[in-house]
Amino acid sequence: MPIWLYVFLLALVVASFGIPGYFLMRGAFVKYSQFFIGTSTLADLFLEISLLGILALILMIDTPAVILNVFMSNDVGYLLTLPISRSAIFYSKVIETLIEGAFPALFFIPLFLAYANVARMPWYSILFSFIMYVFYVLFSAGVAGFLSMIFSKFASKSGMRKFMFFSSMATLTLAYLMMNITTMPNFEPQNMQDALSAYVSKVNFSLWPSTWFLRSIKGSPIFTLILVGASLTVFALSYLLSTRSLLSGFSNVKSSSKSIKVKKYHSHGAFEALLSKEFRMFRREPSILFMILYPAIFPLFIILSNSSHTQNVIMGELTSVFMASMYVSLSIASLTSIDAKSRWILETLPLKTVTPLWAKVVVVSGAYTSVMLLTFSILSIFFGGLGFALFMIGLSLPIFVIASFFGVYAVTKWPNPSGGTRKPLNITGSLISMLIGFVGAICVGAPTLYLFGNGMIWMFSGLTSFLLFLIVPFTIEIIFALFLRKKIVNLNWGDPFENENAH
Amino acid sequence: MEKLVSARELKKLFGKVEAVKAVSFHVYKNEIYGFLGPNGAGKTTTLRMLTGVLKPTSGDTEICGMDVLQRPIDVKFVTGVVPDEPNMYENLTGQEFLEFIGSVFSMKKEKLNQRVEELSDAFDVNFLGKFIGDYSHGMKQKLMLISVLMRKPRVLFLDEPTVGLDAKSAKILKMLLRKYANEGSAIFMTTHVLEIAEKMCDRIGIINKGELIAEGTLSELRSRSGKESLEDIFLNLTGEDEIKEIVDNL
Ligand SMILES: Nc1ncnc2c1ncn2[C@@H]1O[C@H](COP(=O)(O)OP(=O)(O)OP(=O)(O)O)[C@@H](O)[C@H]1O
Ligand SMILES: [Mg+2]
Repeated sequence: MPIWLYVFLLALVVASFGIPGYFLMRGAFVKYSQFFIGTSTLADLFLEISLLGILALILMIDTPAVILNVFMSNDVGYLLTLPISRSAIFYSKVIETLIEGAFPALFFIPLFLAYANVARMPWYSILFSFIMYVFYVLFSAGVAGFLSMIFSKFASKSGMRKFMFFSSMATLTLAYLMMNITTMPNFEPQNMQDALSAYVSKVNFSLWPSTWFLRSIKGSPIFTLILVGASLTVFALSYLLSTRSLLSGFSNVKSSSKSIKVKKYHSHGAFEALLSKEFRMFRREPSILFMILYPAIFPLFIILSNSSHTQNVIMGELTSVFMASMYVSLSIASLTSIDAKSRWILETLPLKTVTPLWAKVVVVSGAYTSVMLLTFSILSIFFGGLGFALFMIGLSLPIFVIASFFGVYAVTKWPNPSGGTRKPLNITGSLISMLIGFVGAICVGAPTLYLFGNGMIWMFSGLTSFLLFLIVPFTIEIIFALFLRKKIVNLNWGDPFENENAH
Repeated sequence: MEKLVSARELKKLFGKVEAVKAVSFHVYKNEIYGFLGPNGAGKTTTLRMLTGVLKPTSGDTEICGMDVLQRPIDVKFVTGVVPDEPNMYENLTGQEFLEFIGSVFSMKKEKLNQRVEELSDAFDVNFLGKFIGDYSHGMKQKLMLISVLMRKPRVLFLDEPTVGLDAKSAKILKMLLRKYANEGSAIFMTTHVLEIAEKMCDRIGIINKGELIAEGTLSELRSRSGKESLEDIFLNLTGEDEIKEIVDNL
């Protein structure tokens, strides 16, 4: 694939979030900047909360990712036998991981631009703020690297699951706090003032790095120094520690050696056995399980900006569909790559090639659907609209099935030669699955808007919108499904060499 | 005698490399067939074609009278395969893996419990509750053997089965294979260990550079080449008797 196509695809994905995000946020900031609490405005407060949210996300996503990629990856043991310095190995791995993990940090950009626009910041202050933001992300990443070293001391695969459980609880709490503040304008003025002051004292706390950032961009040289100093210190510290940590014995942390008691053996039907196997794989591989958090959490962040509008809820839920259909195909690709590693097992079992694939599809689609059902139900308690949420999930199911089979196809077509389970696809594969997620979200979103949008698509006439929002999405879906069917049926699992030739 | 495995003119090209060149042979009921050859001779490739995992460029295989490519599922029901690399799902425990395999082959619960218990005792396996990711190489191999042997398949394919096993387990495996053969199975195994081929196998095929260059019982091979030990026969046939010269030149 030529480079301009990468850039184009990336720009498309970024723009599809950034532009609507920017306008939504700007609308919110115009209102928020009129509420003063002490010397800062509600807009400042909101910016700080978002920054804290980003810190939390980076810690949550990167810490386990570093552990998995660095301390539990298979090639580190081999790399250590080569004459390369240990910190070079550690850092090449960490940086690779953090670059991926910094993805959520990008969501701050449209938000910040909206803030700057409303605050009428001059261009050089915006530039300065972005430099400070880089330090902020560096700080967060440094803390994540640091935490990962500590956690890896006692990390086991089951420990990681506990960690993930707690971090997802923390995220939900955070999301709850954030939703709380956005519903505040409904309160009585006096109550609101009190509630906000209480909030400010918690959020605007000098030990939070978000406070350093805000003070720094508002012109405080001391806080600028603190932010820069802290991020460099944290990074330097974790660098020094890393030199020792790789060799001190936990470089190859595997699953906990705790043994599950051997019970009586049971036998099930073949498909049932496949289902339970895939479910265990899904549950026990942190890198696969983790992806399911994105569609559960991101809609909350989007909806947060201006909760009272139905449009926002639809936007947020569409983000969830986008995330889900992207991660469904990545999850399936990961599960398929596990099978590819032990390919002889499935190859010698008396099963049709598609049977194990269907088991994966059922497990993964089921998991994502359940999570979305949960998130959407929680959302509809606050904002209503359970009807279209259910409708959207119903429409998502066929998309998930298609995205799943796409994941299988992708892992044979664009495998990541060094990636293994955690990163089964190469860049082309990842970008294309992102695009598939995007098309999937459109195919779900368009009919939803058509039926429930209440005038959101007023710019089209009746027939045009019928064609554009109902017929076209379903046609795309059917064509894509047929295309994949053909590809999957013709996949030759038995001969890697022939697959290689097919490129 | 009943032919349980018959390979006809099996040939495999990897790109331009001819890994296996028109190999034909049979394995009969009650027989252990040993497949010998130097590294890269095409043993694993042949075994993969026989089991229906790899599609041959030309030629065909029948197992129990069924064509491997036309009736893959029926064939896989009666065969058991032990590959050379014991790669298994690291996130399952041994028990979960055995339950998975047992279920897919529709084994009855009682049979499953009984066979697993017998085989675990035989191979000193007491780690089935642990995750496979924590197993050593030999432990994985034992688990793999149990998962295949517990089904008592009619046709068994083993690729270097004794590599990595401790002495006792290797001995038990050899005795078990003999027992299975006597009970009516056909066993095809590749090996580098000439002593195993010599002691265990009823017939031996020697493959070199993709060609089957000799086949027969040990005494047939002896009388044909005029050499006594299988090692000499093997080295003679695969053209490596200039070994001394090679070592001297190093
Ligand atoms: N997937 C593949 N793609 C390309 N070439 C292959 C592939 N698999 C095997 N070969 C080639 O086929 C030949 C035979 O390989 P094979 O694995 O069958 O040897 P072997 O007899 O099992 O050797 P060993 O004793 O080392 O296990 C080798 O030259 C190898 O390079
Ligand atoms: Mg081999």
